[in-house]
This record gives sequence, structure tokens and C-alpha cells, in this order.
Amino acid sequence: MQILVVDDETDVRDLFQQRFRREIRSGELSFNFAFSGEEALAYLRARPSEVLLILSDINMPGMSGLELLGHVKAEGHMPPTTMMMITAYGDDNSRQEALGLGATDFLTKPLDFAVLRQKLQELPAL
Amino acid sequence: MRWWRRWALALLLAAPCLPATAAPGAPPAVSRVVLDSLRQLLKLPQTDYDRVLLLCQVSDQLWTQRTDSAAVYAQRALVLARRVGYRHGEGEALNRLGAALRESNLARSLELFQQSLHIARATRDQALTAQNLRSIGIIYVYLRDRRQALSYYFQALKIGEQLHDERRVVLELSNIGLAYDVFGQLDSAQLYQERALVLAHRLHTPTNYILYGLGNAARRRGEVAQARRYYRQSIAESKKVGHLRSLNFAYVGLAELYQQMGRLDSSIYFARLGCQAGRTNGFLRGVLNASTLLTKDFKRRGPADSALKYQSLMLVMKDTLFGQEKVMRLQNLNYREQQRAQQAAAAQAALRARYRTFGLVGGLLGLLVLAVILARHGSQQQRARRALEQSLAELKTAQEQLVQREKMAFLGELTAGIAHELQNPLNFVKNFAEVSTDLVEDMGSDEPGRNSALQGEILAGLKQNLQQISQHGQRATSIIKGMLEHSRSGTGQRETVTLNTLVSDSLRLAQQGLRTKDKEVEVLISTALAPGLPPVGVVPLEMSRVFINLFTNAFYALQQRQRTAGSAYRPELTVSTQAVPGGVEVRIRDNGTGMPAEVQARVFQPFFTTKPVGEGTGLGLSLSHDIVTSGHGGTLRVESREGEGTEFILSLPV
Repeated sequence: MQILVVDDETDVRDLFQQRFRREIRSGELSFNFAFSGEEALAYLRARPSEVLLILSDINMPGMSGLELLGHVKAEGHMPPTTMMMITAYGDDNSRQEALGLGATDFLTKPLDFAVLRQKLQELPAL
Repeated sequence: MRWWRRWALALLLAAPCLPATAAPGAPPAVSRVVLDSLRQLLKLPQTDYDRVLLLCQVSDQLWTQRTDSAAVYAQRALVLARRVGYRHGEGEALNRLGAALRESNLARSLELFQQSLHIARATRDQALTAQNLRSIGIIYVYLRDRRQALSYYFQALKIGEQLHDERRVVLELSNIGLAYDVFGQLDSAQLYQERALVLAHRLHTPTNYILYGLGNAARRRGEVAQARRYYRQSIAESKKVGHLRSLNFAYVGLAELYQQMGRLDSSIYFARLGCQAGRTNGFLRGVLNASTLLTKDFKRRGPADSALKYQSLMLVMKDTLFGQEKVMRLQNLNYREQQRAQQAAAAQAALRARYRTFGLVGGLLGLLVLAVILARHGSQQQRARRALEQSLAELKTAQEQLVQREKMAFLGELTAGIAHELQNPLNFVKNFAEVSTDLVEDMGSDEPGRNSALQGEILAGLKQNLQQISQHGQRATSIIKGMLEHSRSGTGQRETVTLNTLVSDSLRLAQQGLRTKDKEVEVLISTALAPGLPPVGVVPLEMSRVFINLFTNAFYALQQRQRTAGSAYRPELTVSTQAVPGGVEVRIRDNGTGMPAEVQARVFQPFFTTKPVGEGTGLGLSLSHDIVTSGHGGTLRVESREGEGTEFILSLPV
């Protein structure tokens, strides 16, 4: 499964690659990284229908995670993609807004990788 | 009538074995009936003039029970009176509002009474004049200024007598008696209360305060039985008319009596009732008196934790009340001393003129007399100067304390932002440490030499993780270092900095402070930071403090507006930097509540704040202004329109 991780902290790349080392080696999961909303959008437009899951931070400079979510859902030519949003502020407003915009799930920072792994396994095989 | 139910409940909790006959939580039937009928009247159609006066009457009734509700009605009366241009009503409403704010904001209250007094005198309204003289007198009693307090009270009494308004005279006599009691003149206190009592009996008006005053006088003379009788009568009457303030006074008086007699259980019992009554009414001074007594009682009798509980309540009350009083008293003293010094200078000039005349006459005797006068005058002046110096020193201490408090408040804002900043690096440290443990376990479980490529990969991963841990540890260290720098007081050194970095760092900290405080606010922030600005020499800590203060204020204004604005409202903050001739300029604009002209004019004044009591020290902008102007030779200006937003323009020389 192709996963695109969007976060302005570049070190999340190393972290994800380490955390999911076994899954990456076995080819079960494959990660790509974008460090801003704009970069993520450009990546998705260049590779339509490759990415099956987007995991995005909400609070980023420039395009926020919610705006990215809006774009992804609005551009109809892309396949329906599962989106999980991550935020440091577990506030109700953002949660409602994210779910209203069509996010599949909502996670809070600090990210619990055990929970994330569980959620990924439970996703319908795409 | 929610208040008495709550009160009764508190009593039941506090004293579950109270005999039913002694239950003092009965609703004040009289005032409730009055209040209900006034509220009924308000629903009927009436002229605006009548409505203003009716609102004032409702405020009067509420004042004895809940001062905050009284303030609401007084404010409504004031707004209406001003809208229809009803001067008399405006004066009445100002006086009511002043009375309702007397606990929470003494300075504002004095200002309102003076405005009301001004209107009363301009419209030759004797009754309102007397009313305000009394109200101002009470403030001076609070400030323990005996001369001023009695002077206002006696002026009020004089007007009452001229008007042959005997009901008013009763109140003035009793207030004068209470003032004498406060200033320790027991005979005078007794005399005025007795005069008040005789008159009140003849007129059949309430005697709740008078009885309390008589109780105090008796207690101070050591007539225990007499004092107890007076206090109990005052309590009974206060309950009947629903007057929670005099109820508080009488309970506290009785508790004090029992304390003197060494009957601590009874003292605690009545002081608690007094505390309840004061709290329900919002009468901070009464709560302070009761909690002071309770602290003493519990210290003597135990348990110690109860003493601590009331001591902390006492300190909170003292902090709220005496912080503002001390500043007011000192400013007042300072002003009077300045006047005295001016008078002394004028007198000296007059003396010199006379000296010339005498010189013409050439009388040696005259010269001698003059010498004596001058010598005495000199010593008088010296005394005045010493008093002035001392009061200035005290004023300085009080101001330093407030500045310290402002610093702590600022640190609070900052800490919220920084605690959040720390979360990220700590998380990385934790995560990288955990995956490294996994890697090492993988390594141990593999058969040696089975897959050297995998081994190499694991080792490279471990090395990378350790580097990450070290980096993020470093990041946490530098965040904490930054915080320590902020808390360090004293004079910072000027450094050459990039203004844009300073502005955006401060903005980020203020934003995080906002998010931890109020999660519901979504502010649209746009920045236009001009590239290539010349570097500026500033004390970075001080300037970032100024920026954080300006941002925090802007967020506050946005929050305030969002509370009342419709759903179409989008809070926005715009931050821009640009080069201007001779320097650089930062503009911080919000579309929040904005300020009327009179607020704008005072916004940089120390101790001026529009925030509710306890939220702002009124020093943030004044300190910021100081830092920018006298600290850095720059300027800080404000442009604002009420209901549209505010812009702060800060410029610094290069």
C-alpha cells in the first residue's frame, strides 16, 4: 500500500522508515514524504491513482492539512483516497471540520505508532 | 432568588446540626416583593425618563444582595439616560454604577461619583449632590483618609439638613458614626449613632446599620451583653430587609465579640455566616474581614488547615482590594504634596515681595522678624520634602511590585508556548530510542553472519537514530535556554538581529499561548515580511516581549469580537514589516473589537486596562511603549476604529 506522509518536520521520514522497517522490507507498505501541503498536492497530481492513503499533519506553514484535504476531495479525477489527519491540538473544532471535509480518521500528536499500525491493518485491502 | 437557596445549601453543608429555628437562610421577603414589583413595572409601557429611574431603583434593591447584578441595571440606566439626553437620570445612574463597582474597581468608582457629582452640581440637584458626597466619603473611609472622609460626610449632612430630608439625615449620621468607629473615636461614634437611632425610630426607617454601629461601640467599651443584643437585633433586621452587607457587618461584629471572649467555636460559627453573606453579595471587604477573623480563630483553636484555607482567601481579597487602594492612596498623597510644595513656593514669593517693602522702610526689627519667619518656613519646607520623598519611595515600591506581577503574567503566556514547543523534540527522542531498542533486539535474534547486509543496515539505522536523539536533545536544550533568558530580569545587551525572524518567532509563541488558552479560536494570520531589511540593533528579549504583548492583545480583541459577532465574522491578523526612511516599521493589524477614541488616548498609560479585574495589570502596553521609545529610540503608535479593528505601528531606527 502506498502511503504519503505530509508533515513540516523533516525528521518524521527517518522515524516512519524505522518504525515500519519490517513492513517496508516485506513490501507490505511503501512510504513517500512531502514536507508541505503544496508539495503533497504536486506529488498527488503527478501520480494520480498511486497513493492510497494520506497521513497529514494539520498545522503547517502555508497550506494547512485541512486545505490539502479540501483540494484532494475537490479534484474529482483522483481516486477516493483515505485520509487521516494528525494534530497536536485535540480540539473538537478541527476534528469536526476534518471529518466534515471527508477525512477518514483523526489522530492526535504525539503519534502512537502501535495504534497507527493497528489502524493500517484494519483498513480494507485496496 | 437563586442566591438564598445557594446560601441555605452552603449553611446546611457547613452546619448540619443547626437547629431549625436558628436557620438564618430565610429569604428576605420584603426586598424580594419590592424587587418583583419593580420588575413588573419595568415590563409596562412607560416614558424613557421613568424607565431610567426605575432601572436605578432596581439597581438599588439588587445592590444589597448582588452587586454584579446591580451594576448591570445601573449600566442599562446610564445607556438609556445618555441616549435620550436625560441629565438627571444620567447622574443617578452614574452614582449607582459607582456604588456597584466600589468593590471591584475603586479608582473607576471614584471617577463615576465625581462625574455624577459634577452633573448634580450643574443641574443644582441637591439630593444627588448629597448622595455623591456620601459615596465619595465612603471611598475615603476605605482609603483611611480621616480628614477627607469626614469633610465629605459633613457636607452631605449639611445638605440633608437644609433640605429637611430626615431620612437622608439618618443615613448621614449613621455613616459619620461608623467613620468615627473606624478612626477609633469611640465617644463620637456612639453619639452619632444614638442621634441616628432616635431619628430613625421616629421615622420608622431601617436601623440595621445603626444597631451594628452601636454594637461596635458597646463591644469596644467592654459591655458584652449590650453589644451582643445590638448585633443580634441588627442581624434580625438585616435579614428582614434582605441587606446582605449589613448582615455581613453584624455577623462579623458578633464573631469578633466572641473572639474577644475566647469563645472560638461561636466566633467561627458567626464569622462563617458573615463570610457567606459577603460572598453572596460580592462584598469583598466584608469577606476579607470575616476571613481575617476566621484565620485568627483557627490558628488558635485548630485545625491548622482551616486556618490556611481562610488565610489564602484573606490574601486573595487583600491583593484585589489593597493593590488598587495603595496605588490610589499614594498617587493622591503625591498629588497633595505637590500642591503643598507649590503653595510653599508661592508663599515664599510673597514673602520676598514683602521683604522688599520692609527693606524700603529699613527697619531692623522687621528684618529680624523676617529672619525668624524664614527660618521656620525653611524647616516646614524640609518636613514637606521629607514626607514627599517618603511617599515617592513607597509609590516606587508599589509600582515595582506591579511591574513584577506583569512580568509573571507574561512568563505565563510564554511558558504555555514553550511547553508546547518542547513536546516535539521530546517525542522524537522517545521514538528514536524505542526503534533503536527494536533494532538491537533484531540484531540479537539473527544468527551471526547469516545476513551481513541486514546487519549493516541495522548498524546504519542505529547510528542515524543516535544522531537524531542527540539533535533533538540539543533542540530541547536550546528551547529551555531561551525560556531562561526570558525570565532573567535585568538589562540585556543590544544585539544586531534580523527583525523578520524576531517577529515571526514571537508570533509563533503568542499563537501557541493562544491555542493552549482558547482552542476554539481560528485566526487567519497573514504575514508580509519585506525581504532584505537592514539589520537592527535591539535587546532581543525586550523586543520579543513587546511583539508577544502586541500579538496577545490582538488575539484578545479578536476573541472578544468573535464572542458577539455573527457566524460570518472571520478573525484576521495581519503582520507586515517594511523599510521606511531612517528605519524599519512593523505593522500589526487585527479586525477585532477596536477602541473608541477615549480608550486610544489612554492605552499607553500605566494601570489603564479595559480587561475585567484580575485579567490585566494595565501595564503591558505601557511597558511596551517604554521599551520601544526610551529603550530603543523608536515609536509605537495606535490607530483604531471601534467595531472595525486596531493597528499598532512600531518603528525602530536603524
